[in-house]
Amino acid sequence: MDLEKIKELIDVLAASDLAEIELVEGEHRVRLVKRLCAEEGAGLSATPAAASVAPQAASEPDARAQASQPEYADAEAGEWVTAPLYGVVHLTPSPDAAAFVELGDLVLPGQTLCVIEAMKMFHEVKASRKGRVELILAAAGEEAEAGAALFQLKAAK
Amino acid sequence: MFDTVLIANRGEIALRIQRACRQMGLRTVAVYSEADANASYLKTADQAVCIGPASPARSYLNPAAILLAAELTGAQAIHPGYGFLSENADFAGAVQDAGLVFVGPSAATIRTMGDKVAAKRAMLLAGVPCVPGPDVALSGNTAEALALAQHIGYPVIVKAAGGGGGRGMRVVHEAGHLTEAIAVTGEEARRAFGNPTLYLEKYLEHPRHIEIQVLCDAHGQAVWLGSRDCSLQRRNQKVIEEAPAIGIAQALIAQLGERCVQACRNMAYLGVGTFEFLYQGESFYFIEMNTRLQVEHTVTEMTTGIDIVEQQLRMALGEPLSFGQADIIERGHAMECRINAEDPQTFIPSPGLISRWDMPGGVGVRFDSHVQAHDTISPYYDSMLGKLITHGSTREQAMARMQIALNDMVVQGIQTNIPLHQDLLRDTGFLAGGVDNHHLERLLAARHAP
Repeated sequence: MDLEKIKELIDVLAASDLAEIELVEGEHRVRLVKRLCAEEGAGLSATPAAASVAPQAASEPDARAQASQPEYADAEAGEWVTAPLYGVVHLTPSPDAAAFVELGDLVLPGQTLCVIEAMKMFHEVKASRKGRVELILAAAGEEAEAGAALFQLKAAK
Repeated sequence: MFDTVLIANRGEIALRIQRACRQMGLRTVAVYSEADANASYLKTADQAVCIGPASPARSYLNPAAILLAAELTGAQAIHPGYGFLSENADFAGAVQDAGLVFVGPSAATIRTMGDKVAAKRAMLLAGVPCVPGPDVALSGNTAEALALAQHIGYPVIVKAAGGGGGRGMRVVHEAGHLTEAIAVTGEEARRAFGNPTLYLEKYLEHPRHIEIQVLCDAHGQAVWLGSRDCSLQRRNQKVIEEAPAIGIAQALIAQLGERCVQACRNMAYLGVGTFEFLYQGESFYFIEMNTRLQVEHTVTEMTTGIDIVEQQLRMALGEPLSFGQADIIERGHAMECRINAEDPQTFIPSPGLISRWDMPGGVGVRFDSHVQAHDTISPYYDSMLGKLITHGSTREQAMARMQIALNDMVVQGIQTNIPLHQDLLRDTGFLAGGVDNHHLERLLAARHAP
């Protein structure tokens, strides 16, 4: 998947009413998530301000490890929540249940963000501080390497 | 009759079964999930078929995919191994309905033993000693349950009829907690096993876990292959097993073995099976029967010299047992350490790439494993990498060989529980032998005590 194509995708997302787009081509996966600039109480002015790109290569462990480094994001924008161990990501407590958190949610310290399953054991990944869910890089059912970025939380007052 | 066996499992047991088949001249069909596509044992099978994605529910637990793989490859028998579909009566029935041989007992037998209340009733009928408590389920009437618990005597244990393997149970020490325990366990059982039926038994506080391996043909012959002690457990998961169980009068074990064999004849049991007991105060109490090959079958193979998987396949082929009870002689002592990919302190799983994998060897040392250096251990399945088994003419010799073998093993890239095993092989309680089921948990709790 080349850069031109990703740029086109960003334009498509920006021009649409969609909140996110995920495209899988062979071993490559791109997920674009639209972030709303006016977060507090301005639900009507849903102007697309920025689209964050979270590239994830699905099969090569090395490529995946690199892709999960949050280099492409503004490090000061928030805190990265990473996978404590290599495992399979679950964004919902059970298959039919609602997600632990959604984009834009305000989370409190100790709140569960997702669950990592490894070898029949389930590990809850929790927020270490109060914040707003800015980015969700974790994809349900996908593997995450230890240390891979899963969420970005933005400090909230 | 069959000449091609589909092995409906993965990991070390898939390789173990494949080796038995190859030795007998049977063709093998390996099935695998996408996560296991690079497994070493796929190359040595005659055929290998992908049956779905990594998630067990969509591959190793998917009867339709496995039956289709059997049809495509012409396999006439399916060996379920342990775990996954091995004790699923509906799967055994579906295999038989498809005109194939299920390497195991009948679907009806699996169903009876899977219902812990029905299993207990069958054992009492055969004169197998059971834990004090009735062989009927709780009625749902609170007053009746309280009266029953009073009669049995506290502490009691509330168990799910559909449970097993340490799941779906709750210990109650006083009458005030019984009603709530019944409500909670019933709800858990309904969700976990689709069956809210409960029963009540006496809770034994310091038992050992002793089990009897049996082998039965389709012609009414059955033998028992000695005893195993699997008391070293953490959270109901066995960590070290040994054969025979020491410190128990041989006559008592022989009497128990004969009763197990009698129970097998009563229910026309076929193949291998294990009767699990609690042992306390020089008495045995039946807890459950496993209607499949077990992880720890290896220690019995070492002491009896009998290839249990080969015999299991011969029983499925309809052959009569080629030896009788008098021919079975236990020689020396064997023990097995389950080598898991986990942090030896925190027990957090440790999947990942194995960068170095140096295996032990020498007289009396056996290592059953599917793992090779540079394998990536996936997070989708349980953490067992292999089983290190040693045999000696005495328990002390088997333990000395185990200590050396553990010291010789080098695994890098992931964490393993080898340091835990090394600690256990220095523990005075374990060295003396005969510790109870709570010994390991007590040791681990003492580690963290200030």
